Amino acid sequence: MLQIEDLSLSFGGVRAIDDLRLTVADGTITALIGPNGAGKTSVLNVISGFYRPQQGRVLHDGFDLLTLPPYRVIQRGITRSFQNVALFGGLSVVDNLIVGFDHRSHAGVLRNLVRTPAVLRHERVARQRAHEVLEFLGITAIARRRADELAFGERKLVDLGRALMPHPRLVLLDEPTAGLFEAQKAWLARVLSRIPAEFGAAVLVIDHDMRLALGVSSRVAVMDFGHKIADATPGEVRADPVVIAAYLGGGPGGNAAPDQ
Amino acid sequence: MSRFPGLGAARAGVARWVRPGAAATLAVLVVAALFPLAEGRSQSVMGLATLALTYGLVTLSLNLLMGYGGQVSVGHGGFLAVGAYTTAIVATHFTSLPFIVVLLLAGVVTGAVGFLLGLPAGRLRSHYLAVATLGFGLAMPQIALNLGITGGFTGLVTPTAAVGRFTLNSPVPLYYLALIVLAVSAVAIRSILSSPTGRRFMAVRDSEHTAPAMGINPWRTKVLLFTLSAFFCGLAGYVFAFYIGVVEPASFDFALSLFFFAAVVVGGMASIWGSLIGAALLVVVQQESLSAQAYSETILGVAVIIVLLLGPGGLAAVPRRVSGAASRARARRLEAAAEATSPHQSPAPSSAGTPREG
Repeated sequence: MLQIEDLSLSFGGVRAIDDLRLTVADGTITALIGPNGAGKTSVLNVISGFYRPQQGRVLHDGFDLLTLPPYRVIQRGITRSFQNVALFGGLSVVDNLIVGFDHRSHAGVLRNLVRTPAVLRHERVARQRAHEVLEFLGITAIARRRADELAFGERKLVDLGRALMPHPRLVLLDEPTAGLFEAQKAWLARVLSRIPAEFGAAVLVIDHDMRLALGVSSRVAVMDFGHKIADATPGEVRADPVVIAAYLGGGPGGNAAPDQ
Repeated sequence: MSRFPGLGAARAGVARWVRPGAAATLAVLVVAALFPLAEGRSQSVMGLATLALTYGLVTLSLNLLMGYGGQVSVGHGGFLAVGAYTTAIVATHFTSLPFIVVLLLAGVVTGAVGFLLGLPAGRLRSHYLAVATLGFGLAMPQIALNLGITGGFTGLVTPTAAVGRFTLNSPVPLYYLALIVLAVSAVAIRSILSSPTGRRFMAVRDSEHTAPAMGINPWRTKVLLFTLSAFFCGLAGYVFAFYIGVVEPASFDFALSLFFFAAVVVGGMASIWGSLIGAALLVVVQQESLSAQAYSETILGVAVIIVLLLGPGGLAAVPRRVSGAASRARARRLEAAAEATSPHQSPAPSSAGTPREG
């Protein structure tokens, strides 16, 4: 279980996150939504160790994540995708996925050089897993393509796949449907909703698309200007006048269009 | 039926470097091994071939750093100097050591220097890193000039050494040693590149700021990269010490570092074969321009600029560019044919566009 307690993060005079409390239960999908600039991505960046908050705690099964450098967070079983889709362009799709599993290999250069049985086993398991993930995402056809040759929608899926490779306990997804067209969004929603069952992972997903967020999640937290303004079931959030105001009538970021 | 909508067609992956396959590699090795039978009597040709192999290994070690690791170095002449001086010093003072020990020592000592340089350099980027490595490349000959153990201005004469009954101070055995050291190093580098270690290098190259989310410590990765690159460059330094016969500061002037940089760019970043071809080509160009030596650096510079303007992938990217152009032409023909037969059918939505109706 992920517990965020009294989290505050400022950049200079700007309060990106203000006293946030949030819980993501094991094996569930929690959506974090809100207008542009509400502080959603900052929350992910704090959990994955890229930002250090001024105040608050981030506990994963009681373990304080804020004590870890970013490259150790994955060892707690926490992975993430990126809003701007930062794949390793020079690597094939399969190799991109395998990088998401390589932290399991503890072989140094010499053992990698001479290919000890353990190294070969790692490689075999990684390839097998990459194949399973590609199948799950429906993108086996592009397995051998170079990442920088892919179309945008394909990149989004590979980015997601890389985060699933270690069979994580918690996946943080930053705008997984941004820039996709409708059929792809529907596909992604379907894939996303199956992640807890298939991988045993909890999901914390940020998205602009309210329909996606409300459709796949069992819990929805809404942020606006760094504050959490709602935290409830999708049905309650949909009817919440404060949320509707933030999205429709609201301040500077209120132009994100909710569907339905 | 489970397929991501708008998925591009399956296509055979195009390898990052030219991969002529094991058979072609073997063929090249056989030709290289038989080469002295044809040209063994010509000292100058054997010398040139040995130099091409030695510079090929330096270029490969630099390409490991630049092409696969995304870090720049314009100071690899400095690493070559460390390897060559280590060889001359160790071979002079410990004459009974077998050649393989001295060879590995040249690699390990140079690797240690690479590690020490990597500690701070791993925190630098782009032009700051270039300046740091530039400083290193300039400093090494100066240090050699002023230390006692390196023989100052006159340098050190590389002592005689032998592998079995072959003396390394004569052209043909040295050629074979250079060939074997290069071949083994190239295989080792390829093996590293297709392992978790190599994938980490390329991950840091392609997206340093997101790599930590995959459990990669960029700084540590870069320090390892510098260490490995310097190690292989040090092995080349061993061969180079015997090639030049006298290891002196003047052998490692700054132009040499530029030469290796140019060879990587001309041959093609992230390409093993490209490194070897690039180095060989530049050795020949340099040899041909000996009469106009004052211009040889100009020629290198012009070559780099031409490659950067016309084909940033260098020589190694030529086959890929040709096959890419061919497949694009094929696609255009197919498209034209399809349009001619069914003028009213609109093509399926591609994921590159954003068709969004209603």
